[in-house]
Amino acid sequence: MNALRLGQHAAMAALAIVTAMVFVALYAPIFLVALLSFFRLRRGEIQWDSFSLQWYGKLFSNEGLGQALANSLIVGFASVLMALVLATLLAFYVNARPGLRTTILQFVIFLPFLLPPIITGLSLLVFFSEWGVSRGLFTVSIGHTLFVLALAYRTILTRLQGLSRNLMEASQDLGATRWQTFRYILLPNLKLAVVTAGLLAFALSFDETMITLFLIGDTNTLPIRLFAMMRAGFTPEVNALVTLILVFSILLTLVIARYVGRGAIGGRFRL
Amino acid sequence: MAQGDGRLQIERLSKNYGGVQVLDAVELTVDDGEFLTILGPSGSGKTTILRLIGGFTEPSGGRITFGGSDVTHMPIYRRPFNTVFQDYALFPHMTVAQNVAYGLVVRGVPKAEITPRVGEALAVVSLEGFMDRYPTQLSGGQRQRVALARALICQPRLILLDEPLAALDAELRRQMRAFLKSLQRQLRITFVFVTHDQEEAISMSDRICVINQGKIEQIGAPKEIYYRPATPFVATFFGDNNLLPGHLHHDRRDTANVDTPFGKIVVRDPRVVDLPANAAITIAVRPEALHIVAASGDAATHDNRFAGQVLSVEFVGATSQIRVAAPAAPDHPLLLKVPSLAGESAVRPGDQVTVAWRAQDCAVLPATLV
Amino acid sequence: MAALSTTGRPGHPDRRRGWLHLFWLATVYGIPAILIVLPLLTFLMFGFWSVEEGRILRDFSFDNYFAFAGNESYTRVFTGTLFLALRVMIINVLLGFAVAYFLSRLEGRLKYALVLGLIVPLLMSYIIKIYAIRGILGTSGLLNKLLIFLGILSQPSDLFLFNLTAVLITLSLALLPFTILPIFIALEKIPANYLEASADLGATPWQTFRRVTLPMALPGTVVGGMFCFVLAVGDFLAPELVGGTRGFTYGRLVFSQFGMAFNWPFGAALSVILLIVSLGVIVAAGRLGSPKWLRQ
Ligand SMILES: Nc1ncnc2c1ncn2[C@@H]1O[C@H](COP(=O)(O)OP(=O)(O)OP(=O)(O)O)[C@@H](O)[C@H]1O
Ligand SMILES: [Mg+2]
Repeated sequence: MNALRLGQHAAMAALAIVTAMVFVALYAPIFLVALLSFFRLRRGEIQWDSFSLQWYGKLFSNEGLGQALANSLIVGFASVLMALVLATLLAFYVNARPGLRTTILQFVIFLPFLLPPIITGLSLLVFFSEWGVSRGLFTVSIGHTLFVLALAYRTILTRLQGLSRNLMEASQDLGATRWQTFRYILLPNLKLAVVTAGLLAFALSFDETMITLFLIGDTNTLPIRLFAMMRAGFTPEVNALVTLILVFSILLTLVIARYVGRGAIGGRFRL
Repeated sequence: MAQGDGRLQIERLSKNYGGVQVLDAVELTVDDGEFLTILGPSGSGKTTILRLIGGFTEPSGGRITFGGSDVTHMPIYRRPFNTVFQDYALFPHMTVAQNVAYGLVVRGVPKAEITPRVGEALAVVSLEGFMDRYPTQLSGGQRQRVALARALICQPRLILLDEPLAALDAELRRQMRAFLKSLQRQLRITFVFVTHDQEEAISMSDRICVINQGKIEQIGAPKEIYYRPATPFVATFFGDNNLLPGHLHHDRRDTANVDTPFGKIVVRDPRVVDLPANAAITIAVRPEALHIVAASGDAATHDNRFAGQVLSVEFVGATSQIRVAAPAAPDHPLLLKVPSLAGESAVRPGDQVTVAWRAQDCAVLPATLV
Repeated sequence: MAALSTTGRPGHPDRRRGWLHLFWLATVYGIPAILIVLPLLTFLMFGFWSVEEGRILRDFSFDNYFAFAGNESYTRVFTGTLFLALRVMIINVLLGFAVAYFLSRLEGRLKYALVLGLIVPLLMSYIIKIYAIRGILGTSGLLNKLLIFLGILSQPSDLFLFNLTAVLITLSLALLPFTILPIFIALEKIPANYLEASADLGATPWQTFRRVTLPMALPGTVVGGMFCFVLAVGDFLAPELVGGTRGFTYGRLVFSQFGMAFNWPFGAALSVILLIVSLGVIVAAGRLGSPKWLRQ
């Protein structure tokens, strides 16, 4: 009996080591990038006395960067807005009529998210060029809308299905009109889901590279600009930019986690 | 483990959760083949006792032995006990047959042996035709019986059941009650059964263990608990009771006089022998033991009587509940239960009546009312 | 408001509601049809066309597909990429399960913090992850230093950059959070009750793990594995940045048709093949991921 317990402890210890190694592997590279944005590297060794913020300063004088950031924000807001409206409509519709038709609809909505991004990007590229739509921020926004739609839809639908029918019936039973039920019961309950979906969608859009590459034409978003700089090789400037974006991503993740994490604190997670 | 020695012994078992004492030095012995019910209000610690016996929770102190050997820290899967969970915990990814076979499969019983035994176990609970269904495709009562078959197939010496009937409707519950009881007699397995339904407890158990706030109040046969409650809590938790405070005067061996607000009351309870003279005690009298008699009735059958005024008469179905207050003790109105008969009730509020009862219907609780 | 009326009874056929309903249907079915299905169909068509002197020739033929099947260097890249994605998937499912299981056994703040620590890289920009990983793969990178420090290597190896191994490492690391999270959620959803019941019926911890935990976590694991495979098989960013000339993959082949080679129809045909593979995996995962007992 003690041998068995010992075996269990040994197994858990092994898992703990694997987990620790995975976390190190996930985080070590990005910490290194952040370090190298402050310190110089000489023959593979970090020069600890070379701390400087000069590369961050250089970023401000980088011409295209401001434009790329602005474009990223425009595309992000536009696609989040479109995706949220569409996702909400779809969620209500699917929730109201479960059946074969909506199952197929759901599958179609999920395609741009599930398929390799290269396919989504290419199909839209070919489609837009066939219809003579020139590439630019508009086409990128459409691409991003489709890409983030599934996740936004799923988030809202889950919440909608979680609201028990009883809740609506109780409200109507207590004398609320349909409008009042929508206003006082449905809306407050959905708000959190919509905000979560919006944040998630924004995070995805802000980082999206592969679909964007096909649809962007000759302007830039931040990741595309970054891709171009990276192909040129390592420069401390890229490290500085990457560090800034990382900080932004982490902050955004923490905000999202606050929303998703509500109700997930005391132990069990439900996502 | 030797056959016949399946006695479960719980010694000074306690459990606290983060400093809160949930179980306090519980002492309990369950005999081989006995049907023992743990009864208590919500939050009293019933589930906790069961989880400690089953091994799902580690005790903070005390010992559990089974057949003489210590099982306090034995892993769950080694204990010769099985549990029927309140929500059944049927594995959703297995069919009924797979669920029932589980205990044999994990013990490495050969396949050829498993199939007939699953059939037998399902036959015991009359679910032969349901082998290939998934738990979600069953009704509540059917799930309950699958859970039972799943536990029985392991041939446990002891089955733990945590309010297994709570989720069933009234009619099904009555059927399952009889079924469980006859099954237990037939298989001669020890049952430790948790409920907060006293009717369930009375009708099924050999003995009942009443627990309150983590402490055992009384253990005894249903009749003993009913007629000779040991504490005011048991007296009132278990059906209605009239509680009268008083002081004991020893007279003869098991018969005594008690000074109460109603005057002198004669009681007959073997337990008075052990009590010191002039002890402060509480008398419990069941409402159905009180009778309304003619003012000049014969004193031979009714040792105690007093005159009072009817406060209220309430029809509650099979019986009517009457409240009578004595002029000497207006703040201790007594409750009577008399059979309801068609037509006008014999007494009306305001009537002067005489209430009488026998000395042996008085239970003496060696405790004062709080 | 219209939303609500569709959730209730079918409702009264008054005219205003009728128009609203039509608009509703048009949005809900129209937009996905035009922006998702139609582009996919267009690009299916493209695969049957060809290009001549920089202009697209709209004659239906299977030439592109024959050209692919007949050229061994293409098919080799194709099967090589399939195996690459398969290996990434297997590595990640094994690692992902171990991590997810460990996290699901934890409690309280530590668990919350570690799960958060997984979500951060999940939402982190994909190319940034690749870039960062590339930083540790070179001959003077962290990985080589670590292996030398551990005594596994005696001198820096160039095996980890600009080849398929580099792509494998990069994809595994970048996609790992996508694999862990679905598995973790599936494990979290298993009620403690079932594990107790299993032990109660005599199963050892290992048997409980194998017969209850594993099958109940299978749907989430399949989803995690699917994400990983589909994202790996179609990826071109990681091979482009860390693969060098030796780390050529199918995704890069497709991508190049839209860049330098400028042969859209051939590129479309190549990605139709990719589409078929991906759809196959998605559908198979959908089946495996929703066994009978989960569907009511
Ligand atoms: N895991 C736990 N952590 C802290 N307190 C607990 C825990 N489990 C039970 N308790 C507390 O222990 C007490 C007894 O709980 P238990 O579940 O044994 O009650 P019970 O008699 O089965 O009640 P019920 O009839 O409602 O099921 C309760 O006050 C409960 O709040
Ligand atoms: Mg309980």
